[in-house]
Amino acid sequence: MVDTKSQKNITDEQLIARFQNGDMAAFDLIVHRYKDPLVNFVYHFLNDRIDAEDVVQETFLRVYRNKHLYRNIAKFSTWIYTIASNLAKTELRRRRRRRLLSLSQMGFDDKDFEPADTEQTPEGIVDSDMQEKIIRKEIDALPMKFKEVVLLRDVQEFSYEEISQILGIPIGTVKSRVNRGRLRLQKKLKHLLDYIN
Amino acid sequence: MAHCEWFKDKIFEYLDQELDEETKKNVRQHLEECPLCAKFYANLKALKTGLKHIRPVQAADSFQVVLRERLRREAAHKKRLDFSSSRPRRWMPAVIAFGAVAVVAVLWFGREPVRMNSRDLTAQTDVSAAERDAHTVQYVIDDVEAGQSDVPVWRRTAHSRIDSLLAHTDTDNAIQDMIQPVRF
Repeated sequence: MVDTKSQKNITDEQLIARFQNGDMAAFDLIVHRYKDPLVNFVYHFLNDRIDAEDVVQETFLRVYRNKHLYRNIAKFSTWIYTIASNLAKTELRRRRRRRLLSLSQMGFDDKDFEPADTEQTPEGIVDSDMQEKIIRKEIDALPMKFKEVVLLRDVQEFSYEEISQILGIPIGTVKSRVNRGRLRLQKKLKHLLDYIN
Repeated sequence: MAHCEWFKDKIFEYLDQELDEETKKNVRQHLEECPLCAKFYANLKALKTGLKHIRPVQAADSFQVVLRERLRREAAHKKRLDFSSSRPRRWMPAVIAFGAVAVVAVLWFGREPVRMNSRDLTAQTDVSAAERDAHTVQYVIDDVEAGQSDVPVWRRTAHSRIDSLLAHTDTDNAIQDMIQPVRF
């Protein structure tokens, strides 16, 4: 059993090792540590809390079923984020297919495309809630390849090497994508950033 | 301007604190001298701070309870599957044993009844020996009749004695007497 007092000192790798030896309390502690960061991470992909929770539940179920597959050569956090990221992308693809299907089933008159409002005015960004909404909206508007690296780097605060492991791409590509993603956001959020400065 | 482009690349790394001390010092000095790059850095820093301080979305309070329930259901389902898949295996030895007994019983009760004493067996052995010798004689006769007209009469007459030889089952000595003339 995991002692409550020493819970904070136990590393993720020690916890998964204990869980691999059948300690369910260690699994509970892993869930406790990762549920919120993972839901937050997945939410940025799906924009729906219920869906994000479903994906994270599935992530933990995969960890539970495949605990024997984890080897202590990579950090546990990169392993679990890789699972969550892959499941979130699968869910996005599923949604896209569903949307395409429903569009193809719509009649011509039903089609109502409204261009997204991407320009923000200084008057509308005074409120901090509004600022957050604007940032979230622009993150959502980023292409996936930029969005995922920016989220992992600047929101989840992973190192470039860890992001490289999670996404399975070279470190150079990660750096390049993070910088390009930041530049895009900077351009879109020009008014907001000027206001903050 | 080209100078600034080089520094812009370094500004990203400066922001992520991934530069060595020497380059860090150079970037800091450039930021003090170049207002455009200073503005670029200030905006990037504000963006990074803004992203970091977005209020995180949290899992519902019931998250762990729901997960436990899903795990419990999955375990129960797996147990059911294991039980149903192991059931045939548990009954398999009994089924095999029953099948084996049934096959033996069918073979045993389905065979023709054979009742022989030791005398019958001796006679049967003699018949077999007589038949074997008779066949040897027959081959010789066939050979003689096929191509050789100048075969001695004693050989040809042997053919006419085959029938009686086949019917003869008394003793080995009698058979030996009858086939003696056709042996080479």
